[in-house]
Amino acid sequence: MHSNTISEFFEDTCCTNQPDLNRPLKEIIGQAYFWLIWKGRNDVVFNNKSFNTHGTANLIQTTIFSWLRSRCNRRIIEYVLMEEAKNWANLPPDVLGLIFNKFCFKEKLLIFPRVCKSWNHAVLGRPNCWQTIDLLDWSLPREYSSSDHDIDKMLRFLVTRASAAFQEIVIGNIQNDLTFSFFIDHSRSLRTLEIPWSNVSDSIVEHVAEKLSGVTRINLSYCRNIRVRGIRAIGENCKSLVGLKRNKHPFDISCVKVEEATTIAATMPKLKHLELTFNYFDMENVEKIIESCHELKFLDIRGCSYVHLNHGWLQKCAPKVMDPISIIVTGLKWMIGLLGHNVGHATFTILSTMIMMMMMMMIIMSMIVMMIIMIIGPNTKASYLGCVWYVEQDRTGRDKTYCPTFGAAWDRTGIHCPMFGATWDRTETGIRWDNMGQKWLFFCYTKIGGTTWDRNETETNILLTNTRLIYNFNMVFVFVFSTTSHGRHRHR
Amino acid sequence: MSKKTLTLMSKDKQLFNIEEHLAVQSVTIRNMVKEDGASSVIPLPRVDSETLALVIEYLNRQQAPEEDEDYVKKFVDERGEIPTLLELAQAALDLDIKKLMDAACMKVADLIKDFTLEEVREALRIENDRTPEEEKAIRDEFQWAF
Repeated sequence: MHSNTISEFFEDTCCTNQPDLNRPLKEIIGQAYFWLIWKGRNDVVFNNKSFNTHGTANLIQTTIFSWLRSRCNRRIIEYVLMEEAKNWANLPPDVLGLIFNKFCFKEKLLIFPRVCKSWNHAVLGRPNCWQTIDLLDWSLPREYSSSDHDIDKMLRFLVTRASAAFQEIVIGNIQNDLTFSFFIDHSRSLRTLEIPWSNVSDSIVEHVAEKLSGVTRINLSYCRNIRVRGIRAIGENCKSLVGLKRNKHPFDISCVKVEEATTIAATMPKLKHLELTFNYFDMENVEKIIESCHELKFLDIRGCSYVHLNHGWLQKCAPKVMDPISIIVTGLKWMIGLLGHNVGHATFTILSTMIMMMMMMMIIMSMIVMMIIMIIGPNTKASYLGCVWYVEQDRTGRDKTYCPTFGAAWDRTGIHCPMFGATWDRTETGIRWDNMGQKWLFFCYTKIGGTTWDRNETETNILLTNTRLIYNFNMVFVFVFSTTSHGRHRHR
Repeated sequence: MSKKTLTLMSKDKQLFNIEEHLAVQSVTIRNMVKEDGASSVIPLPRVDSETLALVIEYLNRQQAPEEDEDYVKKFVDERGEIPTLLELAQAALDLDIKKLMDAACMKVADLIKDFTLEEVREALRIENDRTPEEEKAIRDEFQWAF
């Protein structure tokens, strides 16, 4: 006797005249069914296990089969299942959920739900698929011109979809306080909050700070309207804060606040990861931070103009710091100094020749530096005076070593020099509309800061740099190019 | 304690023997052994024999717990085809072998990561079951994201 499904099997056996089998059969099926459901329920209640519909159904089927088989003493029962057509559209939701969570946010949103209806249903209904909301690519002002309204709309859409289960939110360029308080109000289990480039104000931060008590990582880089008050509110409410990013734009001198360092030192003793690039701190502030944050593993103070490099201090804080290329640095400084003095109100032609020269020099310099890096190798994890480089994993999980000063990046497969347009994510060279100064700028500074959170440091790492060098370097370029663009304008 | 052997039966009724102490890495099998003493054959109605052979190979070779992570990664890396991996993930789900399922899903995700929509459909042989109007409605919903 072959039956395809349990129900068919049931009908078959009931219709045949086998009263000896009929009753026990029904009993066994019923018992197995209820017993396993009850067992599953107990697991959920007492053992904190999650209920897996798919697995339980499977278990019921197989248990019934083995009970029947062991009790019936006849080989009349065969386990036969209907042959299902192989179609990956019907993958179990558990498997789909796991695959889904490995995707980046863009793919989650734009590809996965559109593949077919059942995939869409599988991921829409699962709040744990939407733990991260990462809108950074869409929200940064320079990427494309999205209005406030757009950002607000997409954020509301996603927050509703994630049904308050999101733990990580990454969104830049929030222009109004309402948007900010909206998603803070709708989050129940926020762990990571990243809102770089936002115009969120101190008062709203103070207002919602209570709700941020579970947050462990905060990124407030380039938020010009958050000052000491906001930082203090965060420090006092987020008791478990272990990471803070407070990088500043190199040209942003609007909020010179030394108190921030004092506040960080006083209210956030548990910090492990701290980024404070291009702030206006002095040595004293930095020392205070290092003293009060005992667990600090990573401190990025590159670009802090008043943190002077002092060998004794360096030896104390970061014994591994070395200075193998100071000769090159001095040479470069000299050249830049020379150029900087000569520029003045020079004419367009002279300037362009000089820029060409400078480009040539930069290329030569970066080649020399790259050679030195190759010789030393990326294994020594330390910062150099003037030439800072660090190891970081990019999205594909490959180690990449960046040398921001000269814009060279190195990975296992070769060397990329962003000046030639190969890698654009760290070092930026180009002409761009600058939001801060409302003018076109030629960028040749490195977007330093913004390192990934989990760096697994074994020892304290302090990144600092000879800021004056970078600053001069940039300023010369900015100056030169703003002059050139004016010149061009006049020519028209 | 003598080593007991269990018999697993795949969808196409092939029988596979495996030692009990290895088989109980699967939570499903462990539960069944507990319930029933598993004197008879354990049927796995959704797993075909090729995949079951793979699962048994995985269960058999896995012994030292500290090498698990590397081993399971290598195991799925060797089988770099999406259908095989999905079958494996499904079987691991049925048998409740968490590590194998995680690793298989991860590998699939890695493989189809940079695919476009059409490529994903093609790789998994999924028919588009939406009408152009529905497609358009979805596109409109995500207008800002494109």
